[in-house]
Amino acid sequence: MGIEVVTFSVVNSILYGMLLFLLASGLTLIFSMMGVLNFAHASFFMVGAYFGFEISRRVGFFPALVLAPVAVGLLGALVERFGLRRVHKFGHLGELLFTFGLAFVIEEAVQMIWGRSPQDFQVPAALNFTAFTLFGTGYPAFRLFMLVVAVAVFAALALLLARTRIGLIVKASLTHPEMVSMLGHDVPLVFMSVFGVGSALAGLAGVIAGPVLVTQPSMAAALGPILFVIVVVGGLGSLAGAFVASLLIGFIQTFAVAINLKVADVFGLIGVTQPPAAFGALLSDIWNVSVAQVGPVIPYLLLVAMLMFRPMGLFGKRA
Amino acid sequence: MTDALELRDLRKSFGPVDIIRGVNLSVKKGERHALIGPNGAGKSTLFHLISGRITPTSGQILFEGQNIAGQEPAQIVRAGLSRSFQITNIFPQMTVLENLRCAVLWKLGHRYTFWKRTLGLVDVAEDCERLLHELGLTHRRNDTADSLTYPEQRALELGLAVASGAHTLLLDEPMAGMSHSETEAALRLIMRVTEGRTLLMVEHDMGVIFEMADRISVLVYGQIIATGTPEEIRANPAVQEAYLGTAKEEAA
Amino acid sequence: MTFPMTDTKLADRSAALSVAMPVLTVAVVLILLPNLFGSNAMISTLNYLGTMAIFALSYNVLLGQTGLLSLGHGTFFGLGGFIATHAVLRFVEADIAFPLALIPLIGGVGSFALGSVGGWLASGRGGMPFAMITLGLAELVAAAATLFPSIYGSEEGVSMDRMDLGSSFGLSYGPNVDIYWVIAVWFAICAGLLFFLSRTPLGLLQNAVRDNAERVEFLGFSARRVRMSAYAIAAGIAGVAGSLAALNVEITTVHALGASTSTLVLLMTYIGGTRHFFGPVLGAIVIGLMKIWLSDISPAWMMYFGLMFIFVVMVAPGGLAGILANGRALVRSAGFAPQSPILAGIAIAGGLSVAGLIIVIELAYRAGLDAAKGAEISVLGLPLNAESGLSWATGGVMLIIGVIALRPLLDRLDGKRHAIAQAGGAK
Repeated sequence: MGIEVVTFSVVNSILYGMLLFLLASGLTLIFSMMGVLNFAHASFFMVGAYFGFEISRRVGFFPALVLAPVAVGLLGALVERFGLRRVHKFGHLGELLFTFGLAFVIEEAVQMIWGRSPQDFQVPAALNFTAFTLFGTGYPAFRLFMLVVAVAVFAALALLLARTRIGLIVKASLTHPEMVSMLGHDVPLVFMSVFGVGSALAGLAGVIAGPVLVTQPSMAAALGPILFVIVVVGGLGSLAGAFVASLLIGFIQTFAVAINLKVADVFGLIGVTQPPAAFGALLSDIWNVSVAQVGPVIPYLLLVAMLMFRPMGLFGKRA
Repeated sequence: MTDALELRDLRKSFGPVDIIRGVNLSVKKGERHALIGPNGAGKSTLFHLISGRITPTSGQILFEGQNIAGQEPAQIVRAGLSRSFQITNIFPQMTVLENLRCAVLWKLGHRYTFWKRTLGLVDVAEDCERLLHELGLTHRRNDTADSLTYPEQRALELGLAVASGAHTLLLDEPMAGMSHSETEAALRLIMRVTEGRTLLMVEHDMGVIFEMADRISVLVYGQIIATGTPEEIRANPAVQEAYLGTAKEEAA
Repeated sequence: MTFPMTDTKLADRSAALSVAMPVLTVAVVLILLPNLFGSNAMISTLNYLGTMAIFALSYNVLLGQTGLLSLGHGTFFGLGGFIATHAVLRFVEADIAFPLALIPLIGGVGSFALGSVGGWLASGRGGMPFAMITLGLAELVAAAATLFPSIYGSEEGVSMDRMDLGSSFGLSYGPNVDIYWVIAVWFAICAGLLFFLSRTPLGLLQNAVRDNAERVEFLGFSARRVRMSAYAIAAGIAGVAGSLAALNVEITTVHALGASTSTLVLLMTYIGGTRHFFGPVLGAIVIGLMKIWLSDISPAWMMYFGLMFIFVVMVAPGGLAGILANGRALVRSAGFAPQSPILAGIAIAGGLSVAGLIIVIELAYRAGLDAAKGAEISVLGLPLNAESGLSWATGGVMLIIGVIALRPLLDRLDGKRHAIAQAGGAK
């Protein structure tokens, strides 16, 4: 693997990791404050991409960058107000089932409106150029822009948490979830806002990811399980854990695609070029497995390993 | 004779905060031992440590001579030490009878049996009948636990702790939230069902404590400052200053 | 000559009767069904419903009995199917005359073993961690399956011929109705086993873990072991269901162990009702039939499943079985007559809003996904047009009027019930 591949893969890993963290942070925030694991979180990400696509083809990408997340946030707030709040009395199982059903319905609704095929969500012309050229390969400016947006949101969140009263409440609830119920004033409004802001973050991730990842109805189902791996591996309710786990998954998945290696190649190094016939078809399957194919499996292997050796996750305090 | 329960220099801190700061306590076999102390003294935390809900930072918990510090709650119950909870902790959607059945299964050796019908287990049925009668819940046997009145739920809470067959019981404020007449009835119930067992209980009602306890220990800011008979505790100046004194001020 | 009959004997006899009645009913229904619906298409529908009913029953060991939300139960349905398929292929290859009807036993035992391993990993905690971990494990198996084409086949799956093992038990396994009898017997066995389980100490403890897992620990039990047992048992029975599906369609693909299978069983079980033993069976039948019939006439059938599911979660957590039970109790109660005019009003308003919603959804599909089919569409017998404002207004107005009318009707029903309860109390 050449130095240029490594360099670009590192940049892409950080980019993908930050994108995942944009999603995982909202999920963690909602979970810590409300005790609800939102199975529809990736669906809000997808809705963000579709809203971004619709708005940007009417009034342009940059208005969409603001309007689409706001719209998704409002949608999230409505879902909390008229859905989640009503199932709260049925306990956590009711809430889980509700968000699960919601994810199902959102995927169907997206297909109903936009169809099953991918949308032509283009990189905006203003950002459609090469940012820099390294080792003779150009790096697209839009990807750099994504990175800037993700880092900016991350910085803004960190500042909000550290400097404001709302931030203090949120931070306290991360370490002491039972404290939220003692806030006294207007807990429902706090919940609605948290759910709305979390959804808006997911929506923002959708807008900036839409032109690069493909905007299609399966994008929520593809990303949702990865988000849960991140939250479990990082430790339920830990923002720092979610951050580290996001980057970890970002690196694993990016490098798995970049490494062009098969199991057979490894054996080739030690002079074995054919699978021993004695072990049959299964071994020949393994023989033909490439690292790129294993890529999608690794996050889940990580999940299993984490469960076996450190069930509270990387940064979790609660087992 | 070894004590039923002995705590040796038990400590627990949450981060920088020391909640239990070196507790030494011994509970003799068959005695009714009360644990009192002002709010925030660490009484509930101490119970959580003994029953295995949380693990101590350091120190020993000797139950019948064996160190049980850091063991799982289930192991501690099997060893013969069970507890009730301050906040009612029962099976709300199951009937009273089903609640009790769950509680007697381990003691009677049925454990996770899946090849016999529960209704066919004669020993379970007999034991549950006896418990229902003792707890005064016979007429509510087929009602779900969440439909019981508060004193009935407290009786069931106590019943679950007793039903497990443990000979040492930790009772965490069994009379919490009861009216005066309900407290009287609950006191008689506790005396009746815990007959012949070792008892360590947290309670706020001084009348109850001085009436039933053989010995009393006073916990203040994570340390036991005195242990003795009710008379000794009443006469102890340190206790008066640290605990009864503040109580008088509050009353005044 | 007469014997004096004691109370306990009477109780025994009524208990025996209360067990015998459902058993007899199930047996009679299972025997009658293929005679009532004899066409080949109907038999294959029955076969599908039968496997789904077993699958849903297995899922309810987790969801209803132990209070665990698994998002990866489809894994064991699929794995059972692959185990059964490979078992048939190996037996044929080795020329062993293993009875085909007993193949599901192999699928079930294999899934049970795999479920024990998965359960050990997933059962440390209940609630959300359990849901997330089961999802992760299911994704792991589904992603890993693509790496082993010799076991899981590639896109086209692994197929076999169920007649290759020859006939046994007087069945040649050629016609669909032969498979029906295999499925019917396995349904009776699985339902019987699971019903028995719910009456054992382990079943009781599973309920206790559902209600309050922490207290179970303080009674001397390991909640983890109880969860594990539920997970492994559910996996084993799901493996039987998956094996039967494999025998029925003679092909198993990786889709069988994917997310859509896991979602389907959750929808069936929860919509059917988790608190009644036969609720999941009801759900499997209703959703299964909808899946077969509705998918032919509407592109929106998945949307309807989702909306139905959310409706049940928000309004009727007892599911269809709960609604039926409540309805029966209501009709039998004294308060039914005075309530019935309001109930009729609610039914009309509810029907109106549902009809309006269906019109809007069908129009939306025709305007979006199915725009290529042209704007003309017939919904509920009405000739509508996806480009006509009038069509949209028809559905919209029906929906809005229905919903607006529902609120005061429901309030009046509450008031009426309150009055009836008070009058009853005053007597």
